[in-house]
Amino acid sequence: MKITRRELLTRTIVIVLGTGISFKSTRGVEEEKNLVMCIIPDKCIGCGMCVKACKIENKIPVEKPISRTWIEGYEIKIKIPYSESDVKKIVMNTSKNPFLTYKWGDGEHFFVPKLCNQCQKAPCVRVCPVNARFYTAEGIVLVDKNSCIGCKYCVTACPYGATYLHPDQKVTDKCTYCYHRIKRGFSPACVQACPTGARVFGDINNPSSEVSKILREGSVDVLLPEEGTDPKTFYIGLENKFIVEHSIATGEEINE
Amino acid sequence: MYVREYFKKKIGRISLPDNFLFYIWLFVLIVLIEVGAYGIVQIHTKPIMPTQPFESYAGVPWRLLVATYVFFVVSTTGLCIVSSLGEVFGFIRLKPVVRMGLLLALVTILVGLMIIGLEIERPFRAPFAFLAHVNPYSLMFWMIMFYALYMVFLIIEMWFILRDDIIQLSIRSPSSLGRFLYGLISLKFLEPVAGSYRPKYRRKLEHEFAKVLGFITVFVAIIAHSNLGAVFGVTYLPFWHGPLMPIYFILSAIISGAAILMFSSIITFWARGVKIKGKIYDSIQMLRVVLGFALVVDLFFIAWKFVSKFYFPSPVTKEALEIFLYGPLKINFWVFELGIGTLIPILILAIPITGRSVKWNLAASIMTIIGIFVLRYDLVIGGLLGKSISGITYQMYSPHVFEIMAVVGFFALTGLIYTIGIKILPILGTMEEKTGRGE
Amino acid sequence: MNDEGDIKKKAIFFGFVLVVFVAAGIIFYVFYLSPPIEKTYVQKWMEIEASRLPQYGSPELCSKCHFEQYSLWIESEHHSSIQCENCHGIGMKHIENPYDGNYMPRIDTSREFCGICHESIPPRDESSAIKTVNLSTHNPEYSCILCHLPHRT
Ligand code: HEC
Ligand code: HEC
Ligand code: HEC
Ligand code: HEC
Repeated sequence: MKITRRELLTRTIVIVLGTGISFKSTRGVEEEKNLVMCIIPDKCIGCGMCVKACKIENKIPVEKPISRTWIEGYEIKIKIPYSESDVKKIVMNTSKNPFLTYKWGDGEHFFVPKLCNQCQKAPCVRVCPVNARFYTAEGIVLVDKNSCIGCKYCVTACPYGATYLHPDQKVTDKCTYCYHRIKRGFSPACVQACPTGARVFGDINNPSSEVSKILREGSVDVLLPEEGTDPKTFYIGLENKFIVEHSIATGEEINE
Repeated sequence: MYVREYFKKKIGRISLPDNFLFYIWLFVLIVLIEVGAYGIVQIHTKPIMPTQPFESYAGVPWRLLVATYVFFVVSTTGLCIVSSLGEVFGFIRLKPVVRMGLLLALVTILVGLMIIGLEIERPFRAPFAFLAHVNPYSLMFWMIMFYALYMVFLIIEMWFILRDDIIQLSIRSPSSLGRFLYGLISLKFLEPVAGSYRPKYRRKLEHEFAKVLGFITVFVAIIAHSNLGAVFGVTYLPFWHGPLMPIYFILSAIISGAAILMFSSIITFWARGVKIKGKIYDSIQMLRVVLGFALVVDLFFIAWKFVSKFYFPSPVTKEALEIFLYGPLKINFWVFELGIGTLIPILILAIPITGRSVKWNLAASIMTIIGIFVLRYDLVIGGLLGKSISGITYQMYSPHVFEIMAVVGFFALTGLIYTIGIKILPILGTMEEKTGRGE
Repeated sequence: MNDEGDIKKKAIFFGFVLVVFVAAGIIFYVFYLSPPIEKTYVQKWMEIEASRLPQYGSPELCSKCHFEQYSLWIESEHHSSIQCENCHGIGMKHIENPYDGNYMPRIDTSREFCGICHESIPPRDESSAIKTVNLSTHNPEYSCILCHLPHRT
């Protein structure tokens, strides 16, 4: 049997996940959660409800093109060898939905919702000079906005581009998986707002939770695995998307 | 000099004060500093930089001010390296410009740290943050740490080098205020014998200690500087990423250090009416050698960097370089970085006729400085423009007026502090040379 | 000559002592002094972050007062998978002050509004998770809610 690189990767991820589970549970800490998000791009319809919900929930200026979570719409012409102009990327990060007005051409179309990947080995935590970023017990990366000095090193260091400068607070900001909500037992705003269930959120240490089930079914992918950041935001079924690996790295962005 | 004579000829009847031009120069600098202060205040009081009112939604996080900061700290490292070539490593021909180089290094590191302190979004928070909770894994923290350390060492080194002359100044100063201040700076009261002749042994020891300190200072400067290179080198951005970045930074530090020292020493000598000949001319020729050599090495660095990233066109690295080769930064790269910044200066310095002429040297150093500044700008901005893995893709960036004002202000501030330093400190020639009191 | 060598040695010794002292100071400061303080910062921020109030409610909260719509919605065939607040705007403030006109949920009955999710664009093909219609051809004159009651479909 031939194993492609991707399959290998998927397997290692699953194995890593498995060991993660057993390792965490042997620590014997009661109700220790490991919260992850699972994104199913196939189900995303690009309505942008998550973006709006997130921005209002977290008080981010809605009409400025920065967001904790955003949707990327891809239009890829299937061609070998492909050139960069065959990959078009449209980004929705305000309340305006560019997907409805964009003149879609031929090729494969799909949406990829993105957000902070909550890396377990986060570059932004490592580079912050004043320790304003840290991991919580659930494995979530938080920004201490009382300590952040706004040097923006994390913005340049994040390979996913998920960190940005908050225009009003003048400190960096990023997705917290809605820490205040999950502490109260709600799920994150984007998960709740998604009409099609393209985002699944839950505790991976609990074998009966929805995420655990989805992740156990296999074919799990993470974005930019080669950077070694160990993200906790997983993508399901990304490998169906043709040359997505490249396209996600190098799409030609269209702004409307 | 020429200008003053020209003025005298033109407006012969009005008697100008002797240092009339000097006051104009101070006045211009102070006006420019005020312009810069206005720019900085605007940047910090208006809503955040990358978005409003700066309209560039591209939101490049590190902008012109960071590029200027990099330029300044590169210069300070380079100046420190070049002057310690003369002071510590025995390039005796550089002697006449060593003190000037050290003063400039001090001024540039002061202004550099000031720039980065004002560039971050929360300038008032940073000092407390650096005192209270630092992250030892962060290269940026170590960079700031080592630069601060470097500044302290540099000040101590300069103090030891200048102390003897300052004591002489305090003895000779005509005004009592001057006597008091110079005595205070040099801590004259610690001397066992008050008088113009101090024990030879002590002076010797101080001198040797200054050399040791000079060595330490250069060492710390290089650590700090390669840390700055690593700050860029560790990121995922394809243009920056790589282990050679720190080394490259050290190399380009030598370039800008030599160029700035050449430029400012020529200007200073002219302004003070010192004839550039003999030993002074020799020192500038020495700078020419250093600068030319560093420029040639740099050319190879640039060439191989681009070739290695372009050779197998991985989409990521290729895109990072397209910005420079035929993208939005193409003029900056081809004309300023390569042409004005590297090739023409190499030619000027290499051809004997031009290389031996001080005016041509001045031209070459000015060109190099411009080229280096543009190179810093391209390094910071170009690396970020290539970042395309996000919803916050950066498309184009052009500096905002306020940013440009701030940069002008910072340059003027450098000029002002340097001028004051030259005026009050024994920088140009040692006391011994002036009074003829040799060993 | 001997004197000279002596001076040199002395100077180097002083320099060495200085370096050792500074290095020790830095190590002490970075690795012993700063992290303990940092822990309290983290704790404090986690509390602040957790104390932020959610803006986005859940249908169960709406059901307390809008039981009629809720019961329609919960039994509806399709829209039971989407939240009240997707259509009505974020409403935690409304739940707290139900009569405050400032926080009144919006009721959008325009065709474009349904189109946000139902407009047929190429990425939403047959395999996608939603049924789409072409807004310009699907009964163009009428408001959608005329035929499709939003709470009941
Ligand atoms: C505490 C009780 C209460 C809760 C909980 C509540 N509402 Fe209301 N809501 C009201 C009342 C009372 C009115 C009528 C106000 C009026 O007509 O002045 C109202 C009105 C409305 C209207 C109609 C506005 C209009 O312009 O006619 C909508 C839509 C609505 N609510 C949606 C919601 C949604 C969605 C939720 C859940 C997030 C919710 N409400 C939760 C009390 C509540
Ligand atoms: C698919 C979008 C959609 C969803 C989901 C939805 N609504 Fe509505 N709602 C509407 C529309 C459209 C109207 C206006 C209907 C009308 O004018 O006949 C409306 C009207 C209302 C009204 C005002 C009724 C009136 O007669 O004025 C209330 C109250 C309300 N909805 C509550 C809810 C609650 C509670 C939920 C969640 C359990 C909910 N809605 C879910 C679209 C929706
Ligand atoms: C937030 C996105 C969203 C909005 C806004 C929305 N819908 Fe839907 N709608 C859905 C989803 C998702 C389904 C499919 C649910 C399922 O089948 O599980 C659906 C299903 C439907 C269906 C049933 C299609 C079928 O399968 O036969 C109708 C009819 C419908 N919607 C009408 C409307 C109307 C009318 C509006 C405007 C008031 C509206 N929708 C607004 C998401 C939305
Ligand atoms: C005149 C009444 C009428 C209006 C107005 C109307 N529809 Fe429909 N719609 C229908 C009927 C009847 C069907 C079922 C026919 C069918 O399945 O093809 C339907 C089917 C649908 C379906 C399911 C399509 C499928 O493939 O199963 C969706 C989605 C839908 N409508 C959305 C909308 C939206 C959105 C609007 C407003 C822009 C709207 N409708 C306006 C009558 C209407």
